[in-house]
Amino acid sequence: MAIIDVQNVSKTYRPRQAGGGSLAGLLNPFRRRPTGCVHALSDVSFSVEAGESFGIIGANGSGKSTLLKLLAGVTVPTSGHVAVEGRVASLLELGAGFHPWLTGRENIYLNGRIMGMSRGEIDAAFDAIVEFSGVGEFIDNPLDTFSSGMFVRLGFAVAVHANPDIFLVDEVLSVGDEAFQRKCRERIGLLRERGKTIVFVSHDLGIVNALCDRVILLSKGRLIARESPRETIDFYLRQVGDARGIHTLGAGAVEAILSGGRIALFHDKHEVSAPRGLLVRTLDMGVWHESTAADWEVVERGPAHCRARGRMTKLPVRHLWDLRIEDGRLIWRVAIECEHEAAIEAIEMNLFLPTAYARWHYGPRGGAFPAILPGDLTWAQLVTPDSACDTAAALPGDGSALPAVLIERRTERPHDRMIWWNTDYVVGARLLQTGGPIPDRERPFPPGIHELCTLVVDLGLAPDALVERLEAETARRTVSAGRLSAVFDRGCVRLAFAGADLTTLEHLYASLFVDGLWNDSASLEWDTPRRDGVRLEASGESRRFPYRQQWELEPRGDGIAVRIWIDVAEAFACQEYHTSICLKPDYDAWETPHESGPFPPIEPGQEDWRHANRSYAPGARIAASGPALPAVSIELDAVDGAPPCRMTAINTGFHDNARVLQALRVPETGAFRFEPGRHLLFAGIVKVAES
Amino acid sequence: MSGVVYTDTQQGRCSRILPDLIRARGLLWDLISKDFRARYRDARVGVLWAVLHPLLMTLVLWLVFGVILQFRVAERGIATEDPFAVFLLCGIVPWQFLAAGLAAATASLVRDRDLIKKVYFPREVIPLAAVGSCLVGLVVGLAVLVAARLATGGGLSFGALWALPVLAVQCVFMAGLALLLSAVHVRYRDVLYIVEILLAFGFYATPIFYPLSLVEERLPLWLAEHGAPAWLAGAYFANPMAGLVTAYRQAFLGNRMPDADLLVWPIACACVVLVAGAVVFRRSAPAVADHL
Repeated sequence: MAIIDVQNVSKTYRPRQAGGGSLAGLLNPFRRRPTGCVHALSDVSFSVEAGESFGIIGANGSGKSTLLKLLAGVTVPTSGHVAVEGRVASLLELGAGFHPWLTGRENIYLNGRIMGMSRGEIDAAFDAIVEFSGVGEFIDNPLDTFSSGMFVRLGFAVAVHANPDIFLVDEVLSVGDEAFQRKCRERIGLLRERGKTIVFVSHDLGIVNALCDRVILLSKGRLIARESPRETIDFYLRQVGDARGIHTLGAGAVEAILSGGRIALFHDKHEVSAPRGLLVRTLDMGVWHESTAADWEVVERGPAHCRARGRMTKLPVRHLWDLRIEDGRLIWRVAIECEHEAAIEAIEMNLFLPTAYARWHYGPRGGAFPAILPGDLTWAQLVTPDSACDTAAALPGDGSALPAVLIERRTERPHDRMIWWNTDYVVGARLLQTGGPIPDRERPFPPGIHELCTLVVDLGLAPDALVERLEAETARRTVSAGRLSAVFDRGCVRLAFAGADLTTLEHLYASLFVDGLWNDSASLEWDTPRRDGVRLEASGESRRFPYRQQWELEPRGDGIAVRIWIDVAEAFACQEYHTSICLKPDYDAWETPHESGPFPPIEPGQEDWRHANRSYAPGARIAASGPALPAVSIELDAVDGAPPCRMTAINTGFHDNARVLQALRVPETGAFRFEPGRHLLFAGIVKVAES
Repeated sequence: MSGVVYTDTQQGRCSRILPDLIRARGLLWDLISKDFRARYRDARVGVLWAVLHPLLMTLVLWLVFGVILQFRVAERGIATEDPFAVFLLCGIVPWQFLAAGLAAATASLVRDRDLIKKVYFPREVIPLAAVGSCLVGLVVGLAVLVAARLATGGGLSFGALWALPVLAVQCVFMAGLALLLSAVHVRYRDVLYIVEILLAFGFYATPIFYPLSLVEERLPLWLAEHGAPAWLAGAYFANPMAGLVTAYRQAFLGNRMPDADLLVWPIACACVVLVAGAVVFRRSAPAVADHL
């Protein structure tokens, strides 16, 4: 049953002119008839069901207050009808009718009467009102001795105890101290549960979104409704986009709303981003500062492009954002400008996606997003960060209208990396984060502009096309031998058997110990792998030392041959080097030509890597086996004249949690000296035997 | 009170006045008591002012007309000649009620605009409460009058109760005027000034410090002397307070039923004004908040 029924309501105000409201004006034959009426509301119709929470939003001057006055019965429409069934309490004007000379007690009775309560009702509710208001012994003092907070609290207390059927709630939630505001919200939540009808008018769109079942938008006196509160609010945001920090841009199906340091991303009217949207977080002195806390100004506006500047209020830092939408892609470029030296510890760009996204991809890796459950209080990192990974993707679950999202990263900052997260239950979103801690040597940021990163969010690909593209990308890097496959991923080779991953961490990789530092193959600058028939070739250049590595992967019989060369430009010394496979912790036994044994369990708190074997005699083979996964072995490839290695089985620390098979070369004395030219580091065959 | 229905169409309907007022009687009472308490709250001698006010007015008029100008009065229908001060008091108390009530009521809607613009309740309550709170002053004034009469040795019998129907007529008259004037004042803020001038004028056009019998005796003579038509004398009697104040005197000082011819005109006026006031008020009440 509709408790509020508004039918074709229009309200017109005649402007009050000077003299127009006096008898002199009336008697003056030459007075000008008032011209031009103000149409506060035009043909507005809606109804509110009993027990509903109903929101009204709109810019200043859109007719909200007029509509509330009509609902409160304070005034009547020029045409149309308003019917309200039940007692209305307006929390709009707390303490309306309070008399400053009367005591709190007298005012409670008077205000209760104005609200329509009988004396008996007020008597019954009196103690509860006094308690809720927290006015205490002041209750018998005249009201003009009250603080403004007490005044409002008393007004709110009377209103909520008047037991009305309909509450009209305005911006009251922004009065009083934090504790009282919480009390108000709790109380309103309680009233909602009790089935009271609540009509909300607020500029706090977050509260409206959270509390209202339905939202209508008033725009210049006309009613604009969208299906869900969220859509109405978004429409509103777009409408008030002239505001300083707000801009809407769009091209084709892709739209983005930049709103004070946050971007909401839409595809075909569906919001692709989760409520927190796209934003930047900065860590300074151990405190995270979100870009939404900055003072934003859009400095350049275009239909599909804008530039915005946000000055952080608590940091000497200005955000410089450049947004562009083209070809179904949002291009989000972020730089920061430091006014003076800024000791920023970390900076991250966050892209929150709703849980409707079911699968993630990260470089050549991929998996299903785990469900976020009510008990999830911490955020879960879904991938091992890889500073070399520049593409990530998310695919929506079945039946979702959301598009596939492909994110590409363009950055000059070598230490930044992307990570997929599952957030906690409260935030309830998938998160792609790029950036990370700022290395010590870059701190503090000197004054000036620092380019951070550009994210290209591509919404234009169909999920199938995206999967195909990701698979094709992976296929280009894959070498298979029977059911064993090896995917080359920037200095790491991921091994899988019949689709099940065997390796973890850095997978199969090589590392050189030079000048006291391990230089992993994963840290090289890799070019795109080349294919030569079944053979895969890739080369990567060290950023720090004068060498390149060349890798070759090739199926050989039931295994995959791996060959690693080093191309030295300038002679350098290397203390030792190895090639290793990081296996999943499910492997529990190892075997070399000299001995065999179990991997001891990896205890919590164990940080260092520990050798499981005792003999360091050179060998040509090492293998690991476990109950669930097929046994994996490395056999040195004698044909290529590979140098002999120490075959070592290693337990990593608890955090890394992997079993490592390592082919280690240590010089007899001193160090290896690599002369300019090409040298073979490793040649071996990785084999899998089904146990 | 759940199940209360209000719609915009009902708000302007005259037939709803009585039910609305009956429902809001508690509010009316609370507003009256609020007005009265708030008025004297911060004053040193508090409610005593309600007693002092008519007494001081009487003192001033007694000094001017009784002592300096040596007025002697004999009202028609009253056998004895009372002290001039008591005679004055008996005129001043009802007049002050009228003047204070109308001034307060005219401005009442504008004064309480904060409340009106925010909460819905039957708007009639506001001007009626303004009149009602002055009624308290009247009761105090009448008590002073009774005390003064007894103190000066005048007798008082049940005949004085004839003042009650007179008071009723005055209340109805004032209620009608209060509704009418307050509603018009919202649109045309000149009304309050006009009311104030008319009240100042009315003080002299009402037999307060002179008896009605004096007017009846001398006005026709004066008109005849100047060749004016005799019916012009009726202009004086168009003021319903002329009859009402005299009727009060007949009840209080004469302890008798007031002459019927004194009350016919005020009763007619009260009825017409009440109906007109109620209709005008109801018509403009729904949108009154738009003009505040």
